[in-house]
Amino acid sequence: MSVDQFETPADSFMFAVVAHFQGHLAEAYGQLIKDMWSGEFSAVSPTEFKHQIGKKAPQFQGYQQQDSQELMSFLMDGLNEDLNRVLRKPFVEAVESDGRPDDVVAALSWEGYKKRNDSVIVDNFAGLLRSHVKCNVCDRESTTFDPFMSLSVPIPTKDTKPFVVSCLP
Amino acid sequence: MKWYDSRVEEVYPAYSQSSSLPVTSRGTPEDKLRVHFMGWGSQFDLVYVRSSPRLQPLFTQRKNWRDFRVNDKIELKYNARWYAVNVEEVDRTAHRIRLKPVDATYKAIIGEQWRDFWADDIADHKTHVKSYDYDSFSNYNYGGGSYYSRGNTRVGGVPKGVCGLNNLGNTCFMASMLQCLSNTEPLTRYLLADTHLRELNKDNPLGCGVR
Repeated sequence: MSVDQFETPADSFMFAVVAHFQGHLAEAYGQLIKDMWSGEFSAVSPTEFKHQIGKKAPQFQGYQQQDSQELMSFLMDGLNEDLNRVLRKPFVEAVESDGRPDDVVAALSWEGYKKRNDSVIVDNFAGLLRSHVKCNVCDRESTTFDPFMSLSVPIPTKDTKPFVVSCLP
Repeated sequence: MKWYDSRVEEVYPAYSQSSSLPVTSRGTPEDKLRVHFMGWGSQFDLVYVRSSPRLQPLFTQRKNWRDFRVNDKIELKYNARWYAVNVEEVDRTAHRIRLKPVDATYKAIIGEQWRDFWADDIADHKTHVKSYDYDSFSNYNYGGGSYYSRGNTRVGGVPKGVCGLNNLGNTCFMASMLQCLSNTEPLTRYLLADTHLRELNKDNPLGCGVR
């Protein structure tokens, strides 16, 4: 998990303190993948991987059932940090829409994001989610593009469902 | 769906059945058959109606693997465990085959065994025993990845990426996620090429001061 300090005056900037785990998580995950794809084993024990993810997020240290998606988020975050090509993160201002077209705002948001996050994880998993709000009172609109590494989507279901009822006269 | 060698053990004629008679499309009740799956325990016997499409004459759905030749690889059930065995000799007059385990480490346990062509405790290869590489016997570990084992199960000759994950203790949530991610090609390709070793952040850069 990265620890960012960016309380700054306008014309100066501070490099973010980025806490890494010396890349152990990426090494452990990489080794697990190499074992699984070696063709040597019919099954492997992901003990080292579990140990490293437990160091990053203590809820995964024990042997309780946990949430897969939560684990994946921690893993993505951890891999992104371990494999970040950006070694010192510059301060980047949040992008306001200010009436500009979406593609301009999105491009600026992405550019800002990439200045701080540039890794194989971002290359393959990151995207921007458009969020649009409009004030009911003053009609002011704001569009922002927020980065995500995973997207929850609903499984489509039928609108109607038949069911049988028994009627008692 | 797989087809299994089986044998009709018992017939329950239609008119001897007391209730809930299965009915054919013509509306007449049907005989029921209790079918035994060869090489499997009797607890797996199933009952079918005579006209069930799941019953077909033997070896119409699969090749006749009991037409033995020397060096055929089949499976033998010995002391409640299935082993991969090699057909060493075929004795057509006595209607039997001589078998030896494929993995040399089991020779001490099984030795050599003769079985009738129609024995119940032999099976076609890949029926009970996980697939393995016939050419690299030495490290074969049958039934590997048992529930309590913590190590890796080395068998060799496994298709790449087709690899189970041992349960470390309620880690199904982790295993399912890892299998999905393992099969996400771009990331896996990146890791198999050792690219991550070049891009690893090992140092802990600290911030510069504010100006």
